[in-house]
Amino acid sequence: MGTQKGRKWFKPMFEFEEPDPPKKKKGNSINKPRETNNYDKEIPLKQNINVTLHNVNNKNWMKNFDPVNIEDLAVHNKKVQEVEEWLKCSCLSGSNSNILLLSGPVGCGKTATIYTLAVSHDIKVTEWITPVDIEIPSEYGDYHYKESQTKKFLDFIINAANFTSLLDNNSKKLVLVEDFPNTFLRTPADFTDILKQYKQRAKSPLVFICSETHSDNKNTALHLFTPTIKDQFNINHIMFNSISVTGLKSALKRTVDIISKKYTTMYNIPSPSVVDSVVHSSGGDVRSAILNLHFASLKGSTINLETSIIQEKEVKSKGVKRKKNSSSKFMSLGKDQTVSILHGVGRVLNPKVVPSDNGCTNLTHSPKDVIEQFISHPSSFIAFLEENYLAHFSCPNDVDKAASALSDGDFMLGEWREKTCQEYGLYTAVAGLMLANKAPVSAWNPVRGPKNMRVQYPTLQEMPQLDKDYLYKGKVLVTDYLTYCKIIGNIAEDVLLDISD
Amino acid sequence: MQAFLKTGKISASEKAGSSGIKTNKKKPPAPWVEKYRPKTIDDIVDQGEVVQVLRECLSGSDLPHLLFYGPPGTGKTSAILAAARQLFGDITRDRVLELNASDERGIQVIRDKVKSFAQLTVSSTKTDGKPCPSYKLVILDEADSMTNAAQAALRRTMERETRTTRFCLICNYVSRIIPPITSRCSKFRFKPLARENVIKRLREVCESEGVDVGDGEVLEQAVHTCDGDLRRALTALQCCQRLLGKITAEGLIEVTGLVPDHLVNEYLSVMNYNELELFVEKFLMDAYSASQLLEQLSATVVSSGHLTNKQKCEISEKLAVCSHRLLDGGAEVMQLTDLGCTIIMANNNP
Amino acid sequence: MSLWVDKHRPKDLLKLDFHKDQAVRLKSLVQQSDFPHLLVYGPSGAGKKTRIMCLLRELYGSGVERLRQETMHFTTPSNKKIEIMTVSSNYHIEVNPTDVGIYDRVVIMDLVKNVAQTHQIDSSGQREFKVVILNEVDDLTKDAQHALRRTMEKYVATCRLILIANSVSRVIPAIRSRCLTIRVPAPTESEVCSVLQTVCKKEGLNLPSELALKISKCSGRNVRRALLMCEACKVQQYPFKADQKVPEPDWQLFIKETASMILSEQSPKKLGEVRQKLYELIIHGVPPDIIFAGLLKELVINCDMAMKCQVASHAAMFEHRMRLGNKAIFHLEAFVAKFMAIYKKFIEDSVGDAF
Repeated sequence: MGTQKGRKWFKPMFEFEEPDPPKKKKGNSINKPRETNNYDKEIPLKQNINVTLHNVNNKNWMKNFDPVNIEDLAVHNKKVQEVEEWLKCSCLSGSNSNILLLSGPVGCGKTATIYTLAVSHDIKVTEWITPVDIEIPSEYGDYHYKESQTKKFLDFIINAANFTSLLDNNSKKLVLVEDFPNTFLRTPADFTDILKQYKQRAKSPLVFICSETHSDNKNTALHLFTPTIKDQFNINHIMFNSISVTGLKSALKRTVDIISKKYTTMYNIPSPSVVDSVVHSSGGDVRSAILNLHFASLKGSTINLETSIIQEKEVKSKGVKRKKNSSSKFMSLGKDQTVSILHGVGRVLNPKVVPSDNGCTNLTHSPKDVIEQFISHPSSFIAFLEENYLAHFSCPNDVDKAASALSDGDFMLGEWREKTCQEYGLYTAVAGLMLANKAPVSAWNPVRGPKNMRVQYPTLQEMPQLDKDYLYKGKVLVTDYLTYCKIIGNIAEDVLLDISD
Repeated sequence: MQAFLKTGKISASEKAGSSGIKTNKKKPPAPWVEKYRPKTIDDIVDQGEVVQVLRECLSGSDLPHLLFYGPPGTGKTSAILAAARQLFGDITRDRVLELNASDERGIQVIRDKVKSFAQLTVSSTKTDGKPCPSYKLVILDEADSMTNAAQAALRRTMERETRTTRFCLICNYVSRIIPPITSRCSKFRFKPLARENVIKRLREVCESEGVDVGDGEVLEQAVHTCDGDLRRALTALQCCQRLLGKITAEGLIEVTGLVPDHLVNEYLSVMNYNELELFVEKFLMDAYSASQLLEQLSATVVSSGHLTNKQKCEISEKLAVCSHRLLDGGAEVMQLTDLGCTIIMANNNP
Repeated sequence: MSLWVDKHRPKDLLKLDFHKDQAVRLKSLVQQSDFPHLLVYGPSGAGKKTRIMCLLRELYGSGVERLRQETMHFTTPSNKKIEIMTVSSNYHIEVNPTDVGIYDRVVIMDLVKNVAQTHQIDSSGQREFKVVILNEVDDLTKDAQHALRRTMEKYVATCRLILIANSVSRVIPAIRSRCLTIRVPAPTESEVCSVLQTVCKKEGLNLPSELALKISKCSGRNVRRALLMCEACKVQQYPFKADQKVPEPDWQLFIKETASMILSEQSPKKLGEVRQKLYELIIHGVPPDIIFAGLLKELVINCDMAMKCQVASHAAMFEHRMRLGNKAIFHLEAFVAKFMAIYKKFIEDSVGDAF
């Protein structure tokens, strides 16, 4: 924190802080590289609109809790050391243009690790931010073409690596790329070129940071780094894991400490139960944990949350002590992506029931909540359910209901043009399965993935007797030819063998 | 007329293909349906009201937007085409835009093609100086298969271009046309043709084609198999003539894909499951169409004398379900077995 | 060594073994000045394809027998590359558009367009059109069928379509009305027998008529299957014996096995095992509607009429859903589960009655 406050005076001079004044005349307005994150974004809006909420200050409050020392990092020590080694090796030893790739799930502290280490080793970090292309009309009123994104990117990283800022006589530098220009995702070949150029021309190490996401692995930058590229450019790859529960706890503890020391005007000091809930709901994402904590303990908005958490507590003490349960009430705040398909399947097939006030029973997870999580890929979720539901049932009548529900669900999903059909289909299947099972089997069943149901028609090679110039239909091959070709083929061979004997 | 009918969409490739090849070859015989389409509105049989209105238009009065509806093969398209030809004579090509269901008719086409056609202004004289109506005609055949969005887009166009363009919509079911459009058109219902008129027409065609149809029995049969649909009857006759070289009652059944009556009755009188299984297997092995069977069965059940009302109800209800499923592509075996079971139950509990 | 089915396929319309009068009609059709689009339909193994090849030979001469196999490539509007096997001669091309699943529409449109645009250069003495044979038209998506009808009109000058379908019910009326429909019923059992006898005579074998009858019964009036069965019988045991075992297709045995599993025990565990069997069948390409029909046939044997009725109606319902849904297994399984529930209740009730 000290460092950041100490560097506050930089802010007004931001425009001059460009690491490469000579070449950056034109691009400035659109190409704003963020000089570390040591300036605070202003959020004046809030002040104006909501005067009563005096406690929201105009600073990026997240920064208040940024780690300062290496010990503050929630990341596992070993990983930090690994990165530190690399930094020492490439920055301090003077060997240049090394490349490092950091990957890991969202919010596991990749960027924080780099910044913290950089600060502690007095290395200056320059980060590339992909500019938003806003067309600015020239003086004549027409729009002029700007240089391509690729070229801009190359210029930037090389300049950032080679030129020192006038105001900063620091000799150790590091270029950070977290925000990949979209063009590379489309044309990976360009990226290889850039790396080649960088290797030849630049004198500072380069760090790439890639977030892994479970879904949509098509667009991640991580795919740019093929093994061949890694080999070719000698790229070190350090993989981060999600933050462990202990790591999260200590990080939040530190946050709570900071709150209680400095920001009591702004926050209620969060109770340990709140911290616990936050830890469980964040799913190893330290950023979202701090974000949640912030909102959970912000003055003026606390009452609802506190009560909901307290109710939650009661349920927990009564029922099974399962960590996943405690996250449910935090759904609106928590990281909802953490409800993976496996959890979803568990919730549907082992529905937990709680008695409600009026004597009826309610499901802990209403089908509505469950389907919300999976509405973007209903058919794969239903396939999972179908693969796994049988083991939880004991009575044929219940199975009948469940199977019918699944059949109904799939039938509705068949109408892919209607969005509502997708939703209803999923709802029918989920609610049907949750309510069908009157006599559940209480055994632990591993969740299996759905079978690949691609039909594999026999190939012509399997049936050498077939006429090569005749077009056979897959169906007919299966229903008519296959059996007999086997019989005819096999025995014919046997006969041949007999003769040769 | 042939070329005119195709104004909707002719790709460059087809033009190239046909001009390259057809020049030195004789033309294939035209379908009888086209060849014997009524040339003037007076040739149209049985549709008094409409003919009356069209005749007035021909004698100079203005034409309203038209909506023709009625069962297939009753002369809707023929009526408007004949009228158009009489109205515009040899400039029909420029003044009429005909789109049917096989042309692209999404909302985009309505917006672009129809609109741009409607926006052209036209003079009230022909090139040779003779007077002609100062409007254009857009014929939308099979309008009930247009999407509602496309129909809605049409509404605006109809309103705005009334000055220069008349629309004629043709459909089987008026209920599938959105109310804003029906309210803008004068609606004409085309009645099913009278039996004797159909037979008369068929006989005329056969005579001019030089085909021997013997006494009236074969033509009776043709009308019967085609439910009074003149177009289907003509097509059936021509197919039959083509395939067999002569027209016979059996041939007609064969080309129209009808299920022989004895099979329908057999199905309707199954008494147990084994019988049913055998029937279904045999029926499908003979490659008859299940949907055709259901269609004929429906007529038979409704008019049947020996079934009680309760039986009719039960069977018809299942029949509706099964034919819906068949339409969606359900397997014929399954649906026939299912319906058969209902029939057995109904037969055993009158 | 080619199979008897292929080796003894008749090549001339007049040498066909059954539906001879239809053959005569087809021959006269060829002699007319115009040739319409054809829709040939009938059950599997009734000789549709054989008839069509004979017809083509009649149209173009023996040139149609010089066949070559090619893989054609198409690109869908979404830029996906698809490939499909075709068999063609100089005069015709044949494809199974259903091989490419939901992209069948693209294949049909592009293929017909290609063919229509490359017409014969020396059309002297030949027909001025090429023929495109499309298999399994009834299994095409509705989209593809609509595309087909437009295509049929558009390229009628340079190409004719011959459509092959198992049932005409699933072909949209607009297509039916544009084609000359030709119904090819399955041969009767005695016709199958006579085909078997003819082929055996050509092979120099002596086939007892009892065995011929047995094979034709087993084959379900399917000539192709009957010939394959006969050849398999010959391989298994020759000289033939009248009471020789006729091998059934193994998927049929598999379905029977599955059905007896269902009848033996009604529990979720058993259903799990049944599901594995169903997976096997589907993955190996046995069409789900055939599985449905097979199961229904086997399962209802022991039921009383009321229950048969109930089971049949559920089968019909689930089969229909399967058509519209995405995953066949869901609906098959739901049907089996439904049957188990009904059957279990039936058994319990009848046991209750006994006491």
